[in-house]
Amino acid sequence: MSNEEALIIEQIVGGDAAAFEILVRKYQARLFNSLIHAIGCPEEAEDVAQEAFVKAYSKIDTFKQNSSFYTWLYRISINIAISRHRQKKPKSSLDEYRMNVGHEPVDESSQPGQKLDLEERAVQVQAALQLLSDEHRSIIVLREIEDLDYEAISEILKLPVGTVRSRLHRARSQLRGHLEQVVIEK
Amino acid sequence: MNEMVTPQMISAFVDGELSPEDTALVEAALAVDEASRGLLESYEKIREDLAFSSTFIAENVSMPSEFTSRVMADIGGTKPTSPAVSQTQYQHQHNQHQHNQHQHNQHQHNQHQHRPDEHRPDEQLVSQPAPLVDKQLNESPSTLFSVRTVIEFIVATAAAILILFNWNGNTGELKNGLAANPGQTNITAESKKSDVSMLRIGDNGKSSTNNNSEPANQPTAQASREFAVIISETARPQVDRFWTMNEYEIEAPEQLTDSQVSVFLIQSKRQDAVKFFQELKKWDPDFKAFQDSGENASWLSPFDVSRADQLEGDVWTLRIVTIDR
Repeated sequence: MSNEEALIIEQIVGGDAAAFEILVRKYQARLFNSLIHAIGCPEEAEDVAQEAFVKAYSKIDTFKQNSSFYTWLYRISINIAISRHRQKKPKSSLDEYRMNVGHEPVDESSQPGQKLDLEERAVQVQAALQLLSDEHRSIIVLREIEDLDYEAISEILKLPVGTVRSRLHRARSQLRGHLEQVVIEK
Repeated sequence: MNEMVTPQMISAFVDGELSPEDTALVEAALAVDEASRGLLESYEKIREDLAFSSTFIAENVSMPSEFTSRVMADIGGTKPTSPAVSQTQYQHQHNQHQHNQHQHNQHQHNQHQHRPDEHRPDEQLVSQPAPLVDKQLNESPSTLFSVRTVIEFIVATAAAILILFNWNGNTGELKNGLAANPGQTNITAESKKSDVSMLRIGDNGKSSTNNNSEPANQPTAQASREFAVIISETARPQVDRFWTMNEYEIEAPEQLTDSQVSVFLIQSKRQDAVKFFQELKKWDPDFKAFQDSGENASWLSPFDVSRADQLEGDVWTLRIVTIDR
């Protein structure tokens, strides 16, 4: 963890709640992106991210600082996501969310065909990801989206490194199968 | 596939997580075994697809702009290292913060200057000030109470002036000598015509009118907004019920010098405030609503509640004045 981050956390623990905003601004986009892949529903990802930040803040005096703040935050997020996922299914698709947040598509006039292809590809990857079990989706997101090594994944998921390795392999195998299936269905 | 090299090893090879010995084994297998190469390519394709997906989402799906402020608002009630602050206290404190920003009350502003021994990293590292939670949370309740009381007294006095001098049939001037403007537009189609275009809440607590105002209800990108609503005491149960049902905390109102007037504050999310304004007419057809007029928050201008949904701002502060007519 950087000295700057350690200082910020020290300030927060000391009662300076406003300092927490620095961490929120620093990590919110990264966490949101990752959670969209892990959860599949942007609305849900947003809710989980918000809940995770609030929980991290309320528990920050228990943060031991032997991992990065983001790793700790992500572990909180995954736990929240798993807990929520048991209770309800995603509410909307990526496309619906983009409409809800008022996303204006990038100018397609120059290469409309390519734009549509790329968008379709992203949707297919998302669809295939959502066919994975929670445990497989989580681990592959940590590896491929968060770019974490096995040791860090092991720490977040509380799994032995050997299990991380074998589970990642199974997740990849299944994702490969799902991607082929999604492409065929399209 | 080479018996010494398993698919799991190829997966770990993609991740660079193999020992040097196993890496050499996999590289040897890849050199001669087409099935191993095919598996490697499929795993690399997955990596490429996911990386693309991540970039695509980052570029095309963004978090709502108010996400940070929502988180900071949420943590206002979950402060980890000091006693919890009730929502009502928080509302008042935040309200004072807003007044500081608008230089509405220099005395309050001075109270909120940082203590010499305090260090605020956000001031050094973030260009924008933290919007919702700051050192005010640590200020003493007595200080907050006194400042709040002054604010409420000012608003209630203004409300009383409106009620007593404006709503009872005056058509051209106010009895207390304040200038009147008979040419103003209606506050709402349903309410009585108001002769006062702008009610000034001055620093000294006195009221006056101003006709050189900005037009009310112009949508702006303000992060927060302030409104005053004057309703009959008979509508109070419905108002209380509305905020309670929406999980807001309402404290018992202060009884001011005029026992017929009471004031309470609500720090509302935008969508709840809009709903509140939509309901107001049902509860009290003669309600009056005012809003801050933008850059200069010391001026309250009549507010057409039917246009509430056109206004932006994450956090709306409502001063609700009830009057026993």
